[in-house]
Amino acid sequence: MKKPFTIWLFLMLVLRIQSQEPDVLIHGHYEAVPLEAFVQEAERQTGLHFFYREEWIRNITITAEGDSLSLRNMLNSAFQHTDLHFYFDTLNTVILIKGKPLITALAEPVPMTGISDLAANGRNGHITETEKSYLEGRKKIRAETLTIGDPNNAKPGKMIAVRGRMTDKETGEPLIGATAYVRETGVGYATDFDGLFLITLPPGTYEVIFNCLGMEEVNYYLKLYADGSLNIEMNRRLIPLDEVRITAEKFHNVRGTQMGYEHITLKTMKEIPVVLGERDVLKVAQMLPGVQTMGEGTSGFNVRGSGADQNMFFINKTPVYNTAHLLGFFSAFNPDLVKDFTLYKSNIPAKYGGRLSSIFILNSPRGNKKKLTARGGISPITGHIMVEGPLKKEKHSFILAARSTYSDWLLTQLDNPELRNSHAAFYDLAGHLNFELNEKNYIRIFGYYSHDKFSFSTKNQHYLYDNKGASADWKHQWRPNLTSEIALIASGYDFHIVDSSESSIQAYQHDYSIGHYEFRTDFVWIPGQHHLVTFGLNSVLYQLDRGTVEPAGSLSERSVVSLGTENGIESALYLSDEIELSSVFTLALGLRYSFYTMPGPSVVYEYYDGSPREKLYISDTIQYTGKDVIASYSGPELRGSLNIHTGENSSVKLSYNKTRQYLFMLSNTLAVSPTDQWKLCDYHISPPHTDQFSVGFYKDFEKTDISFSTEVYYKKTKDIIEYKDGASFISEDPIETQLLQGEQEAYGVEFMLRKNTGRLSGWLSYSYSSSSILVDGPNSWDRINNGLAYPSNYDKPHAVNTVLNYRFSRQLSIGSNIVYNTGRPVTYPVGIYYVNGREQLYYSLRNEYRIPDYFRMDLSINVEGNLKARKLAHSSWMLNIYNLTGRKNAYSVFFENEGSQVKSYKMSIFGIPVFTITWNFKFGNYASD
Amino acid sequence: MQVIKYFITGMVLLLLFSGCIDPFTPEVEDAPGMMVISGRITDQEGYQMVEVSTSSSYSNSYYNPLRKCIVTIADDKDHRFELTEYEPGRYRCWIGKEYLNQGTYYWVEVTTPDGKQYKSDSETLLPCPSIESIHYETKKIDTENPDIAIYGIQFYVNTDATGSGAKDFLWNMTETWEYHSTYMVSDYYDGEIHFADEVFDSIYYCWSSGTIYDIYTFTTENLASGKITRCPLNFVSSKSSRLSVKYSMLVSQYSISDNAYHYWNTLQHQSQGTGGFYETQPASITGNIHCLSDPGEIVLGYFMASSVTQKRIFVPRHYDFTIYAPQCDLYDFTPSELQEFLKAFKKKDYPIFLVNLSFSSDGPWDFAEQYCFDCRKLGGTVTKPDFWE
Repeated sequence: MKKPFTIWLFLMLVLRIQSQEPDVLIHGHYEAVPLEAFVQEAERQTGLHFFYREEWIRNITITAEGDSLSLRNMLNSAFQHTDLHFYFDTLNTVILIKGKPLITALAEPVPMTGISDLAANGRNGHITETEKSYLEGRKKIRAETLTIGDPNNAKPGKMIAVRGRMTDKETGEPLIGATAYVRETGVGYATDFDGLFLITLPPGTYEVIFNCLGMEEVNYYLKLYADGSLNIEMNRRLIPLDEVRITAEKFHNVRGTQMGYEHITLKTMKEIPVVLGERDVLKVAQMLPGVQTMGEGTSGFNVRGSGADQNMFFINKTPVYNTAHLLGFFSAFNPDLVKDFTLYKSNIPAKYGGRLSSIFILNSPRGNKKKLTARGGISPITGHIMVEGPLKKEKHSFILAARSTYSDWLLTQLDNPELRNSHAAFYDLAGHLNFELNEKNYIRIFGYYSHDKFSFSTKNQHYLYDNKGASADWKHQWRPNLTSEIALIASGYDFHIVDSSESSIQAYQHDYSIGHYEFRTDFVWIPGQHHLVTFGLNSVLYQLDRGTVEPAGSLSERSVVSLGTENGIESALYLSDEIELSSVFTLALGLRYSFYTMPGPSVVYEYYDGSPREKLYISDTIQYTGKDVIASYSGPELRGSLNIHTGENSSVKLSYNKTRQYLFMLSNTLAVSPTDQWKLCDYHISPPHTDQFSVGFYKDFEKTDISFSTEVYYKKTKDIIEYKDGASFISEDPIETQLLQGEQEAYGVEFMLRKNTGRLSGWLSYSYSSSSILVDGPNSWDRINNGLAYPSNYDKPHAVNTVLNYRFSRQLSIGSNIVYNTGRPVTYPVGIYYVNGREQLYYSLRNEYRIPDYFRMDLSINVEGNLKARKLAHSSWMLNIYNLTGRKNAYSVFFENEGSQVKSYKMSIFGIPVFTITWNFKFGNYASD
Repeated sequence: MQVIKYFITGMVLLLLFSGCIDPFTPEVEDAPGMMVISGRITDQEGYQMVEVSTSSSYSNSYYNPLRKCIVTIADDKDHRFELTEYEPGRYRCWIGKEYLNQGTYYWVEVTTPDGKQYKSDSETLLPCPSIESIHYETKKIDTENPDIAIYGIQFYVNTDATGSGAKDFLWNMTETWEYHSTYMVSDYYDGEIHFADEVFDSIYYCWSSGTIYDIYTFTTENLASGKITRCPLNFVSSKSSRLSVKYSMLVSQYSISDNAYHYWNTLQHQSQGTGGFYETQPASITGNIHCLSDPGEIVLGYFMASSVTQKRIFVPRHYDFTIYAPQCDLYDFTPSELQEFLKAFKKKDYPIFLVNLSFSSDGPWDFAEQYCFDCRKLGGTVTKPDFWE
């Protein structure tokens, strides 16, 4: 091993000299000229000075002819069979040496592991002096020095702001969540959605380590004199099997002030077994601690024991009001369009508001700025494709993505008339334009549309629903330490339902729509080394058209009920500061103040005091005109957290969070259905608000790259909206007669052990939680469950999720999910009584029992195509087995009268292992993104 | 390509229809027995009935009548009618036409043997329009097995409640059907074979009847007019002998109060299976009965007052689907085998019915299961109902 290494080192040096140093050209005709004579001639022609010992070069001659001969080449060939070496130095001198080569300059940085592996393995730890000096020398000066600002402008003592940008060298895309770590201060800075970061430091020289998942680490020395900017282009690395350092995640886990935060990237998502052949971002989110669902194939999820309508979903900046395709078996997001997602479960940044429980932010890629490329996939149910490329090279880029199911076509091919008349179809489209006008101005335009059609033909229920959204976003850098983003956002959701399930005489159709029009501006200001200030405002106009319930079909006698329209304006101002108090304490303080107004026109009913809110007890009718304000609510939302570094790799964090919500969902089913209507708070319905406290402990184990976190939380929601038994939202009854407001209490503890790198990666999480609701008004009609607290529908105390991926080689990996949780609460009959000889059920208190526990194991095998670097396209196969054990997990338990007797049944959605094969492709090779 | 197509089709079907339903008995704690009082007073002169029982646990259900109660129906005109117990837990009283008037409020009072007193809310007799018509349509119901469908007839009721003052309805039905044995008795055996000579013809014709337990309610609340058309009632499948000869159904239409509608409608929905994809929380049903000494005590059941109208429909057999017939293959005996076989019967089982399919008076005779000769063995009676057309 010694020889190859030495030769390699030598070659590197030679190459280095040849390529890096200025060559010198010589002309003339030299036929076996003694070297000494040649040197004199060369000194004459070039002005160089040669230093050597005469005895070394006595027998060496030069033979060459030409007008522009390379001195380098001539010397190289002359010294080829000798132990002589030559070096140029900066003072126009050439030094000739005999024997060991001299270390002057160094090769291109090579991965340290490569060097040390060779050194260590090759010689059992023993290295030659040359190698040692090489290695040591390299270490000292391996980082280039970058000078920021003009030394002449330097003002001693003034803080310097360095605005930087990190991009992918291959595609030009910004690197999000990449980090710059300043060794001297021990502070890390993360890039934002545009790959931008800001470092503020006193003048001086600092070593900065730039890191990003899947990229090669880069080090620079920064010499700071005055404000300035820098651009760091990072090389992608073919991820080695045994070693990847994900410093970005480390910073978030231990150093960041953020709690209750989950960030998952495409790489992780790729390795998780999927259901029905598609990588689904929401299904991945459901594997995280604190995220629960009502059951398989339901849409939406419940975060830390809160209702499904308390989560806000953003794709880029556009809110999505219904995240489900095909009932909930698929999410509304094209897997190609997902670069990463972030879920805030607590300690929501002051920037975000409008929902009580969580904010889910999904980021799409920015589009390849260097070349046109595409990717896509085909599974048994869906096909999807994304095309991206530059609009203007290195500057502007675009993305177009589409996804569709072909099941509708398949159904129409079937012989069974029942199925032939069924429809299950969906598609979604997205487009994204990114303009980099200059270093200080970026514009992004995003558009999104999804469409769903579904019929329960046996029940005569037909659903159609659409999401649509668009946003335009301008990011501007005012000063190196002050940036702003201004965005205009429009989003909407609408559905159309035809329901003849009761009887043809009652058959009805109903159209509903909600519009969301938002203006927002966000500023980031870094006034000094220890502060990170964000502030801004946003304002949303909601326009709801709750639609009209109309007869459907010629037989229908349904009366026409207009549910009316309503508008609301939700605005908020916010200011937050992240303050580094000391190397141990970091405090993040945020205040958001939200205002909500519901303008007229509308009709509002008053009810007699001390009587139920029912049509019968209406005491007065108030007519509001368009100029009146029907209701207005406002309040502060305090967000605070404290990070205490308890050690280099561990921290304790505390946080308090207040959130308010002015919009809620009308739902009388346990799972979210496409016909659930969003409704604004109004004269009678006051906005619910939540206080959440959490404490967490975080630790990283550097050697094994395992991170551990545990969080305890307690939250209380006031004025939570619950529905009366048998509530109907399409009747003439005003909405306030159908619901009651109460309190929700949730608490829990979450543990997460995560390994990000290596052959084996994945996570293991466990959470214990509790969520209960209390609706206990002063009168019997203001109560649910007799005024006793009851578990919420999604209260599942124990939840264990494991996600594991084992990589056998770059081409083959196996993934597995194991999911266990307590069955969801259910109301069971506890008694039987007889009326007219027929068995009737007497039910327990609400949610007193639980359906059987849920357990599922999935397996996936990923086979990647060949690893050739030069090829047009790369493809991979994914074989998935969902519910490997075929366990019939209960989705629901229900009771039916058959004749005079009651029978009970359990319904499961996937009672057998489900196999799917998916084929994915992309242009480029294995490593292309 | 064909293989791929089938694979994909299979996947889609799996997705849409792999939902499987299995019997499942949840484990629940036994609830203490609760008081159940139910009854109704109608505008029809005759016995008005009230049932008093206690509930049983879910896991071990049985009818648990409460005897020796003092049950009284009272009205707002100060009339009180004592009911007498005619069957365990069942109380009745004949009330004359003069006391049954629309607009009068009625309630029930019950005193249990241990002295606890219960009283219902008062309910008024609402007018009830007559049933305009009852009709039926042939219907096919698909099953989980795509090759098997169930055929039958679906009944609908049409009522015009416009201007009647009635809004909420409850329907109860009783069904009666005529069916026949598979073979007419031609001969019988009582130690030896005799020619029957039409003696046993009567056991060829049978009628069976029963209560339809399903609950059917409707409200015109959501309708533009009071006209109820094509409101679905029960479905009669071809998988029984009900449709084999002639089927009849008596529909009783009750005009009920909003409260009563809410009660029965909730029961109706609960009994039709609450499960499914968009499941709702089962509503707790509270009737209109209260314990006077303990207002917090949960009392089950409902006492309602309602006018009633009735209509009967007859459905002759004229279907284009096949109808269930009992298994009645003839035993494949030689004459001597038959003799041996018949000797094995005990005297108490005589007569043993036989059929002679030839025109000769001395056989051969054939044997089949006895219910193929005697329709009473299938649960019916040979007495033709009075109303039978």
